[in-house]
Amino acid sequence: MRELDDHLHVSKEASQYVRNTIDRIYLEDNYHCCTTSDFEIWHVGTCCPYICDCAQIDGQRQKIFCGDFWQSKSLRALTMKGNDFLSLLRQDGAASCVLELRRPHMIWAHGNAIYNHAIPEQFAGELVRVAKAKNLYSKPPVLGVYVNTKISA
Amino acid sequence: MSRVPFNRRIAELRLARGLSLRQMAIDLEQYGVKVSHNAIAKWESEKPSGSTRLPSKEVIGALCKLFNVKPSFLVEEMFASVKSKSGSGRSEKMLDVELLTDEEFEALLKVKDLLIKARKSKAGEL
Repeated sequence: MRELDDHLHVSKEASQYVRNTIDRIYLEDNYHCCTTSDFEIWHVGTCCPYICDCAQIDGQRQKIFCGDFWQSKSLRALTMKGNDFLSLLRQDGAASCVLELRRPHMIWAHGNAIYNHAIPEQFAGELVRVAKAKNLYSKPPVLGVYVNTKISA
Repeated sequence: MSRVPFNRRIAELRLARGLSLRQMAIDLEQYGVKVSHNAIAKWESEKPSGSTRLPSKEVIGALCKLFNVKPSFLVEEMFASVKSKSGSGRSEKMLDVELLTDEEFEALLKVKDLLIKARKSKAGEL
């Protein structure tokens, strides 16, 4: 159990958002996105395929599919460098982190299942701050992640 | 509310229900999960590193049904970095009510009813 400092606390609403999202994951409110050699990728509710917005594409960085991201060991390793997510997942069987794509996403993994949900804008700042402080934050060197045929994440 | 590791949480819930390891294994079967009492003992034990390893997602679901708790209540240690800074809401403070035995829960209900009754009768006097 890692003790927390006062500066790592978040609002009651943000804390409730995290709890609700985890409850939704275990209550099967998920959309199956794709399968990679290591993981099954899920989205909580229908968030990513239908609701996530898209920013302007500047064409400078790479755009990939959601499954490609989790399939690519090198990209995963690069993205998760300095982030404890994968080692905690190996150690405890479950772990969470914040992955900032176009918008910050809450990632929850249990075994080989990875669940993600775009964090509502009002909670993004504080959850990103906490994730950074806890070494559970990543920003991959890609511009955006496609889900099926839509750039969503 | 402090963040309780999964292993301790499961043990607390089981003991609050007065279940033996064997009885808990039998009860879990009705939720589609077949486990031995040894497996439950393993969930409840702590690894030398101090961490615990979660059982499968299906087992978590069955445990929630058996103990009438939410998944986030069982796995809260895994997202310990998210802790509410302001006072928690009343319902959040009651998340651990399932840790009480039946007798303790009855006592809690009696206290609550007495307080409400006392306030109502006080309001009636005014």
